[in-house]
Amino acid sequence: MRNYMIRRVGHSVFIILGLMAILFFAINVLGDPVELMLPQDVLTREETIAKLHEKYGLDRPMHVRLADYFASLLTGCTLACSPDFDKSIHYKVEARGLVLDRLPNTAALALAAWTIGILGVPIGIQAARHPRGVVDRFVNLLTFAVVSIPEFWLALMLMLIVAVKLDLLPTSGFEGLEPGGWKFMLLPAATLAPRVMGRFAQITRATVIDEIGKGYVATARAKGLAENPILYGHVLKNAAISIVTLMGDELAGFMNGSTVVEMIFGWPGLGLLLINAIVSRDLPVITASVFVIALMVMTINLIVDLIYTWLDPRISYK
Amino acid sequence: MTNKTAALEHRPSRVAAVWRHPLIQAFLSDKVTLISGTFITLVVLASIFAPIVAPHDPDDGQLPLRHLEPFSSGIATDRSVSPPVREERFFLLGTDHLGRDMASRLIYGGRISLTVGILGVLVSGIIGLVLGMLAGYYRGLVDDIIMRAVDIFMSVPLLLLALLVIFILGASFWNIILVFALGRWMLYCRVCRGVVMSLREQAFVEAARSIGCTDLRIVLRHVLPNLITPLMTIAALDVPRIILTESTLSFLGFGIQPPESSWGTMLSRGREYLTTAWWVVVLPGTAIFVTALSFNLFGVWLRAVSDPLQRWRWLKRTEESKQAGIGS
Repeated sequence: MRNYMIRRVGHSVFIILGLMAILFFAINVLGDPVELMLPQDVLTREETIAKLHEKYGLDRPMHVRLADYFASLLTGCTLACSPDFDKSIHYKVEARGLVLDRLPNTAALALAAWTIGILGVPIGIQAARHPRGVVDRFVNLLTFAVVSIPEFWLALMLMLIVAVKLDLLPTSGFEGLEPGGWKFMLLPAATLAPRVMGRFAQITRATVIDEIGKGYVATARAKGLAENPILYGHVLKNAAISIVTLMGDELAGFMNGSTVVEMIFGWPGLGLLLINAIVSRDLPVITASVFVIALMVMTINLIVDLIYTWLDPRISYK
Repeated sequence: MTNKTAALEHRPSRVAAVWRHPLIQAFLSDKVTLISGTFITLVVLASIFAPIVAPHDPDDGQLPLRHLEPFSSGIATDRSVSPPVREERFFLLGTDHLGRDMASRLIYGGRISLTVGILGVLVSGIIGLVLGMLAGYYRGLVDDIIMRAVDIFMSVPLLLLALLVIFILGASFWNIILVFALGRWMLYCRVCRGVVMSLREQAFVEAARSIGCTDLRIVLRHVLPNLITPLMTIAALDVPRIILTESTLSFLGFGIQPPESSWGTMLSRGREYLTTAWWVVVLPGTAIFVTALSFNLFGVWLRAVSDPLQRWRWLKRTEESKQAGIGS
């Protein structure tokens, strides 16, 4: 187990370093960091670019810059291409702090939507009882309907109906994560939740139908167990591996997937920060966001893998 | 002799045989699939024949006629002839903030959204297919490198990847295709690798190798046909996802750029007029929703009927399906 943990964490570190190397390649080899950040209409473009290259040490050889980039990533002192690059161009503060400030907001919204989404699991089980029956057909249509709704459109519609027409909730804004701020969280969470719920219901239905066909269900029925204990006790635990995988994927996707919803509702999370950074071409903030998002995704995947070993003890790693 | 001809005459014609094929019957008997399949066909046809189907020029702005409600008509000026002619025009779905016909814009916008969806699936599918077959067939170092790349790309959320690519390369139609090529190839790669790995150990591949077939021939003639069904299923379910992501990107302003417009672009322009003209937001949104839903429902049907354990539930228990051995 300990050996496995070490190998698994090593794998995650490798993936993050690989990802950051690809990002470095894309920014520094395919493009030019200074040109990416400068607006198109600067008058003395050539001179400015040369001056900035010198200032940020971009005139050094590529391999030195790559080594420098990784050294700064690992020591955690900066998150960009050179020591002078760690300050956000737009906000004039350290990019890493900016990103870490926004992280709890994104995480809170993601957790809220994700928790509502777990309701999809019992829905999926009910649908799986009689495949192609009335309930199943209805759930099938409904779950595919909710995963087909464009999120930004649902956000606008909810805003129009609940906030503007009925005037029940504020249209957008943020008042901290304290209990008083719940009003602002309701609409964004309600926008994000249906899709997750639909996905959870679909995967639960599919795996439960597979599991019901297996021998142990017949045994459980033969010994006289009622249907509900079979479904929720035996079948669900065996189906849990695929469900947990999808749950991890969805939570990981939220780390930046709620960008549009954050933008529409003015929720100050990572996604909104990233969009603003891209619009204002703020490279240090972009690099730092990518790094933190990738780190979160890695952590979630790691936790999912640990849950596997708990769900199915046969998954013991050599 | 007479018996023979009678038997021949009684043999169903080819059309009837296709008609009674269990898959066709299953398609026709399931209302949800039939409706979604028909809708996809209609959208595809409308996109191909957009210049014929569209009632007006989608870029012909009639400023005096801005924000007309659906089912209304107004006096428009036809500036394509000189001197300009004034004529009465009927706008089935109303007009947008520049007085352009919504119905025509929806048809042309669908053309772009659909092209992105289908091209995105094709390009990412081909990349994934080639890399997956290489990894599964040759194993070893090639496999390791490709699968590590899969791991890295799997850890980037699609929207994040899209925003980064657009940030570095700029927004254009082909860069958006590139986004989906980079962001979705892993799906196909994994499946292909798995199937190829199990196939290469089987007797028919060994037999082909023993009679001296080249690797290329084995892969193209013996392995590839087995990959078509699983890939088709993933592709059908990935088209709606790409259409939704493209509309999100366009909504954020990083997707299809004006003067070209997809459904997402239309929605993002209409957002400012949400409270005064509901149709400029509701109509493109509905178009995206119904198209994505149809592809999803059709894709899930495709997956069900190609799954030997599940498909009996979807097939009518006809004589043909029993003969074809795919009934229950």
